[in-house]
Amino acid sequence: MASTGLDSFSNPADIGAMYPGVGAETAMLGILVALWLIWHCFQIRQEEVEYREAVKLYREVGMERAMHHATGTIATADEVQIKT
Amino acid sequence: MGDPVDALTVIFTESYYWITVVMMFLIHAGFCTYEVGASRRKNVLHTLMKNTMLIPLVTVTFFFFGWYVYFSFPNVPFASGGFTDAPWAEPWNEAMGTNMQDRINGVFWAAFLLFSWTTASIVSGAVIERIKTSAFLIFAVLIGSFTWILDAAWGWHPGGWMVQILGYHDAYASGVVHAIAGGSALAILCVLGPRIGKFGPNGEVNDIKPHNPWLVTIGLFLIFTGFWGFYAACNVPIIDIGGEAGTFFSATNIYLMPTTLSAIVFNFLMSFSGGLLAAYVVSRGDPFWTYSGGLGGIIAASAGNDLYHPLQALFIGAAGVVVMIYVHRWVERRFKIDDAVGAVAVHGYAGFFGVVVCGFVLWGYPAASPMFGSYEAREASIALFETPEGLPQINPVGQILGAIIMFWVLGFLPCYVLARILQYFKMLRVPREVELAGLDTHQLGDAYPYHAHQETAFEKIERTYAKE
Repeated sequence: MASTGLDSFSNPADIGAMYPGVGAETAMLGILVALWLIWHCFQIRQEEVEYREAVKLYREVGMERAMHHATGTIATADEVQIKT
Repeated sequence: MGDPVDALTVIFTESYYWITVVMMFLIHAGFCTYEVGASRRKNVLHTLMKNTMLIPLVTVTFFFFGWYVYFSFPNVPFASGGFTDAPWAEPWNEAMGTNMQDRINGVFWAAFLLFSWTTASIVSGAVIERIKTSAFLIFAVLIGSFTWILDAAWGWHPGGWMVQILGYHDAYASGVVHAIAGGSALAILCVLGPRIGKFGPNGEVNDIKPHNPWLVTIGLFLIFTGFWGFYAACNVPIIDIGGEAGTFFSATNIYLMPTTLSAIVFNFLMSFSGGLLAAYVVSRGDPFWTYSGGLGGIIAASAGNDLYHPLQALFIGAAGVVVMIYVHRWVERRFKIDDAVGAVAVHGYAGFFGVVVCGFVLWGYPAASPMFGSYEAREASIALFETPEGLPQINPVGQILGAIIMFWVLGFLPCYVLARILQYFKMLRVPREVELAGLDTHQLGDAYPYHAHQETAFEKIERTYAKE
């Protein structure tokens, strides 16, 4: 059980912060700031990998076909092959 | 809260801002819908996710530092006062959470957060179909959680140095939200460049049709609806402004100067109508620009819509839209700027115009509440213009300087520098092949797999670029 420091609501005028972990805000903040920055790093990497794979594929199949693919009219067999 | 009147006032204020937040969600729903509709079929899902993901990122960073910037940075940079203490806005403070002794901080934070989403989202539409999501999300954090809220600390906070020294007045954010967003978008567009095929070899402007005009229409109606919440959130709903003259409760604008909800309802609707009427004529009935004109009309009049007469609001909204459309056309042809949704025009040019015009029409009114008259810059008597009571006065010089600060200094400049940095590291624009094939094509796939596709006139043009 988390220690909330609060086990009664009988005197609301004396109650301030009500969340669990009062006093640990700075630590929580530090962790979340780190996660925020890590999220950006992951997202940037994922996007770069995606575009690198896409460019490789489009150069292989030709831009004419890649542009048709945008309309859902071309099968994706060779795309799958490249991904694997 | 033992006193019933105090309790009612506080809980009414809490509920009031809570409702404005809910209403302002519609602005973001509208921006998403509008952008998706304006994009081509091959970019629909990418456009949607780019805009959607700014929501959590701006939210968490606004919690981390944006809210603190508003309260802590109102003084003249490097000149007077330094940072102001604002413990309630520090992200580790007990007031930034569930707290029985503070019912306003959270709802007020959320109202400002929704302004942040709006500011970042305005930029999102301008850069669709070629910017990397990662680059846009970095811009969103810069604009949504730092530059716009810094300009709010300077020009919206009643004690902000622009308010106290320049007499800057911008009640519903022509400059504070819209001009800065327009300036930011223009800076990114200058570095990002136009979509492939937008401008022909002889400089002709090719029209890139939206894939779904009905989504564009619904999106703009949602934005119009959400703007009611935006306007209400720029007011303080109930406060005693009587001062030495005795108790007098009223709504005020963000500067704690008197206005009424009735006033802003009059002026919102009249400036909206003025914008629609003018845009319809100037654009010869073009639906895209007519709808955009409604929004542009509101934005052009927003700086002074707390005090204008409704007919003044109508005229200013109409004039702002005429300026907005002609400047847009000139910039597009002269500088080859591809503003996909007209965001720089509607928010930047109309917002800039609105801030400047306000200085002439409202010249002489007090700009800020007497309760902030003891601000140290005021005590040094360095205000440009003063009322007979010694308060900062709304004036044209302050408004022109203010518009330049909003659009160019805090809007254009930081985003231009960041865009150059991202471009240097090849992080700004998607590869040419990806842009031509469509940003959805490789990973997300076609958004409408059950719909047949007919090649458009622009796609025929685009194919010629694929062969180069």
